[in-house]
Amino acid sequence: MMMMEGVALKFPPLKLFNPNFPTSPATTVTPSLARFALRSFSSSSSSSSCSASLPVSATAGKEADSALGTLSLGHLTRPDFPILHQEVNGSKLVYLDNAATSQKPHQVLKALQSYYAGYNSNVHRGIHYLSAKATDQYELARKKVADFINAEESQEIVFTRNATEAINLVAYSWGISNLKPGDEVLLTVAEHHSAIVPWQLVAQRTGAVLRFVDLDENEVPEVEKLRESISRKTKLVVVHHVSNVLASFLPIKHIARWVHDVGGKILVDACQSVPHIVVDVQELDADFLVASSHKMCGPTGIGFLYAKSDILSAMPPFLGGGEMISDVFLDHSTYADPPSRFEAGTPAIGEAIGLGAAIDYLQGIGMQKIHDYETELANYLYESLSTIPNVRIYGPRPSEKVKRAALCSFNVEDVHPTDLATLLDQQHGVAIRSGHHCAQPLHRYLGVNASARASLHFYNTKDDVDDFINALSETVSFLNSFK
Amino acid sequence: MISTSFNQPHLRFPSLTHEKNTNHLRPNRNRFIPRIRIPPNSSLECNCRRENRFSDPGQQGNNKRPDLSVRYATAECPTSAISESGLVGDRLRGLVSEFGSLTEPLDRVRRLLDYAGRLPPFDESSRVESNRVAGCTTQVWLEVELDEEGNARFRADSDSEITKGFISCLVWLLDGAAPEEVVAVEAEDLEVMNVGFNGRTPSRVKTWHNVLAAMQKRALALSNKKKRKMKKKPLIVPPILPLIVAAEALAGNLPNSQVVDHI
Repeated sequence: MMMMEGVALKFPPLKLFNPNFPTSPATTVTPSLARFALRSFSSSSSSSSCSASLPVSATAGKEADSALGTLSLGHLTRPDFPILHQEVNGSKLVYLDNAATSQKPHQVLKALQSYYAGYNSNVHRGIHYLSAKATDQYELARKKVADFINAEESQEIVFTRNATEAINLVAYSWGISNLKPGDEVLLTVAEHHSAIVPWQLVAQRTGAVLRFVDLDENEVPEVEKLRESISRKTKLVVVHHVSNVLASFLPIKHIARWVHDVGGKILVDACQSVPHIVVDVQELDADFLVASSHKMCGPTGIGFLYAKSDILSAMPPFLGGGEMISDVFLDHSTYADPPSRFEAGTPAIGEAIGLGAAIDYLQGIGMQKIHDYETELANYLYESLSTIPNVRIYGPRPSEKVKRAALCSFNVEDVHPTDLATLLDQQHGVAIRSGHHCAQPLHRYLGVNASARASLHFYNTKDDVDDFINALSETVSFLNSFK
Repeated sequence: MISTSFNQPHLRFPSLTHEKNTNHLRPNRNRFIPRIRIPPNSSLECNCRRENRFSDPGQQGNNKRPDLSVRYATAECPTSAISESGLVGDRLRGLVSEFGSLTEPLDRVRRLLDYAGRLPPFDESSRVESNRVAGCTTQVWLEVELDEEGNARFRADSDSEITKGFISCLVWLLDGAAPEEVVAVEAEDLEVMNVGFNGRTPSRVKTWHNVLAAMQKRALALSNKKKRKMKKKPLIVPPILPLIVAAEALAGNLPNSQVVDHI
């Protein structure tokens, strides 16, 4: 595996999608331009000593010209994802469940294979060659995460199993030692269960009080109400950056300023933002930020907590065991500095390295390009879905001012979303999700028990959206024919 | 001996009760209709099973429909493997044969939706929390009672049409049967109706497994309650494996008092 030792690289966006070129990411590029870009990617990925692997189309030559003429980011990147090229139940797979988990490019699969085949060894403690190499790569992955979200230093990144564990870490470490009876934790009704339940458990133990902000008429959390609710009692605000149901964005930078003015802190659930847009923790001034690898083209089993170093240094341990200690006696122990203090036991080493490879892959495309493309996809999905009769899409309507993420949670009148999802899968190979999407309070607030959700990523295309809408239309007609 | 103590508050964790499926150890001391099963390796099975197959990556032009992984009996296959007579046995043979003859998954869906339409109306007033079947991704309400002869009577409804189809089949199968017969039916016997669920692992999605389990549990509870009243020996069967843990089994439910208000 070719790696530059000890350096996490930041890659410029693809020249293909340079803003100076007169094309938008989702529309056409000329075949010659695309072929040039593709040749550049192929040669760079084979000769460079970087770990970056840039997306390369599977097609080449004259046959590719007509294909290249209408290539989008989705078309260009799809060949890198082996899992997308299969049939399910007799139809080509159309994977639209990315908010639940994303697919992995072969570069990430290769990184995992290389680790386990080449240098799998326990980290931080070994003296021998394999251990040293594994440690270097593990810590390099930490640096890649830090650079990806513009943390000041690597030590501000704690690897966890996922975002849920990261939130629990904050709750049980920072929360238990800082919250007192009467202190307030402010959330919204649209939060994911993982952002709610840990605080319920901690509030029960500390006597803190949870307060929930409702939605406004656009089905977005009422930001003004949130601002008005912040007081000297507010010790923590826990909010999503992008909603996994409503597809809405929250103004984290402003919320952070409001809560800092009263001496409180902000925890940002960035699970649906880090994989899709540029996230800069310094610009946002987040105190805590969590995300999961498996939603950003990385392996399952790894996620991270970002926390400002002064906050992290003052936090007591969460899980106890090896790695997080300094000295152990029978009646007491002393603890390591962060991040080790919060990484008990053998970590998911290969998975962290796989996450590093995923970050390299995303950086190779450029997060702004991914964001721009997905904004177009988001609008296309919303508009296409709106053509289905009796459909109700949750969240704000997209406009110049209001951006939506590339996902739609929706219901069709008199049709259960689980029936829709079942038939979409069985008859059309379309994978969507139905249920409450780990947001029961939100669904209760919206007055529904469940919704269907189609969620896209940069390797989806408008063709995927068309296939979904056609399949949905047929399915609704079929189910309605029995009424 | 050095003893250490750490002055930490005792953490009270909810206890989860898992009831093991010990059906294979069931004592045959009560008269009930024996379990009705299609033996997995019978010639019936060999003729009927087709393997699920995805086309290989890279063969995108191949539109050959993959075969289904559902076990079922076709109309041509002998049903002698379903051994016993009895009300539920006959009905089960009928259901298995009916759905087994439908080779296309969409036809099975159509049949289920037909069954959904035949479900008797369910009182709106009965759509209450106490009648909910927990662990289902769709909403299911179930009412169970014993008639004068001690047979189980079922009424059920759902907000999902496919689920209504499943429960319509279950109600048709079990309504009016003795509790012992109700308990004897196993979920595997009804796999032929499995629409859209390719895996065999019970999960939250397998709503109708939960419904069957709820029907059995409630029928059994009513039967044993009646027997205790009549001072008869209750029916002893191994615990029915719940697919979910009922909320009341979790100790230490959180009070709502820490939630001040919606803002």
